[in-house]
Amino acid sequence: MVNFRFLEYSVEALKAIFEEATGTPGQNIARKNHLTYFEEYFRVLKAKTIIVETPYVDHDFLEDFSAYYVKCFRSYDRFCSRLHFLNIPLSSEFFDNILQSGSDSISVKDLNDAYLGFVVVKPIPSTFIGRTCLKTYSPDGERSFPFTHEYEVSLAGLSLKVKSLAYQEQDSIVAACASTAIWTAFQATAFLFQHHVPTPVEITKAAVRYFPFSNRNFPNKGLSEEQMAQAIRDVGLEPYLVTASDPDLIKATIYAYQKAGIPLILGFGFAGMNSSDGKHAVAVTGYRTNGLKANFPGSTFHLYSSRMTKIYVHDDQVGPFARMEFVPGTNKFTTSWPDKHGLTGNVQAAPLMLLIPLYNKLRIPFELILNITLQFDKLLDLVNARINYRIDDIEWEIFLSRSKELKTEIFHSDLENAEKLKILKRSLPRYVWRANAHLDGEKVEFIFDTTDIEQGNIFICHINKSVNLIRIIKTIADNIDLSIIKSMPLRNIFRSIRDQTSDAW
Amino acid sequence: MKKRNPVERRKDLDKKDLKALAEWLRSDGRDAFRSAIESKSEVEKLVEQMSVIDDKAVKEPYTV
Repeated sequence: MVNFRFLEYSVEALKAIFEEATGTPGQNIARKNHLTYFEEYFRVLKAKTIIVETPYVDHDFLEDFSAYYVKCFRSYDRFCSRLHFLNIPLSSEFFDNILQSGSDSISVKDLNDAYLGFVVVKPIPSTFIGRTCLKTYSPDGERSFPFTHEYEVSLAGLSLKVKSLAYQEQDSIVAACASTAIWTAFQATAFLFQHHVPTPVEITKAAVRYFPFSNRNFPNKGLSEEQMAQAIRDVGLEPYLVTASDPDLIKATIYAYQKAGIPLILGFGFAGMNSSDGKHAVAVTGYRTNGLKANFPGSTFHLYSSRMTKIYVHDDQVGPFARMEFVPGTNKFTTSWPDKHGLTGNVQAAPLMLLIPLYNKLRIPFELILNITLQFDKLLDLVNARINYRIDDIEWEIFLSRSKELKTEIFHSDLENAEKLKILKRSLPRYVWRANAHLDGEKVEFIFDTTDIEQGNIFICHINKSVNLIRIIKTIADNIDLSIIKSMPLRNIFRSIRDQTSDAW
Repeated sequence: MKKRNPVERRKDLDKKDLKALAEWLRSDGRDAFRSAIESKSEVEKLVEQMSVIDDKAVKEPYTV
């Protein structure tokens, strides 16, 4: 029989449950970053009730258990506990009434509205935070969590839903930070690209399979970038590795892929510490773009993504949707890691790489689209220096998009009819790259193929939602010698505007 | 006549301005364009470095 215990939420109650379910001493739990993190997170979500469900069979832990814990001399339990959180008070009697009557003064819909998600507690000491799905902070125009999807939860037959992205802590035995970050990323890519979601132990096994000279597989002390790449290949995706050497390029890459709901793994070291202090990997799960318009240092090139001020990450050592804030003027982030005084915001991260798991037909990398856009922008700057129309103020927004979403957007837009039909009736690949030039309410968009070859003609078409900007570009296109442009996509952008835009004078 | 700022001039494009631009693009602008296309800006050089992978670094494990 499954037991349900109802407790009024407090961080002390949460700590006591962890202690009871895992046998971890209270002082060790108090030192965990997760407890501090959950305290703040549940304060913001206004948690009022914890429902403790025992026993709970967790698929991920069962795999870890069969791969490692079952063979330990000491006996470990294979059953977990699952903690559910609500933002309303709820008693055991009231809950029983709902179950018996099928409805009550509080309906299942109300219960769903009050449901904040769940945390699975594994029956192992210290590293016990298992699969966790919690509601995000309220998304607004600036805060975006592109990967969240609905997780269905059966609570004694009641069907509850939580919109989230699953999180868990590394156990440092079958999975270290990298395996856990990949596991989180797979939660999103499986939803997008329909692949199997391996458990952390399966990810670690896949990652080390072709590296016989790496250290022992279990207990696992960490994966290298090439091992992470191998784990990504193992589910049929292609790893794309980017060096994280510049903050604007980090923001641009995160924005470009996250707009299409594709997660990224961020690897970093700890700023000001020795390389022997190790490197850490997290999954990027959201971002906030509430900064001011900014140009790349030493240029007039503006990207919308440079407005990004912080990212949210599933950091297995801290918690889900943990904040990492860009430190202005540096290539560093603040983290949600507490310093030696227990204060957050003082431990900084120095980014090293971004690893992106991609569907195999997403062949054209972001940097190629960025490069074409940069060249186009450079030519507009040259013209601006001559005529001074402030077209060097263009702000570019570059991102990957499903063509279905592009067409839906066009369908609902106020574009001119001919322009609308041009796109809606066009055959497009499943994903397209989009580069939007924004200038004082005017917009010209370039669409690129994602499946072609890099040296080929990846430019598909342009979409015009401007009057004056397009006239200036058309004047350029009409009067330059296109043969001097080596880049085929760039040449075809000008050709498209020259051939398909009327003079309209 | 009152002189307008660049944004106002762009929003109320003058055909004469564009004609002058067209003439420049066909004459002196041609070399300026060619030279801009052939040169690489600092940002373009930075973008090129994005996918340069350090063979040693990719073998170091993430252990924290």
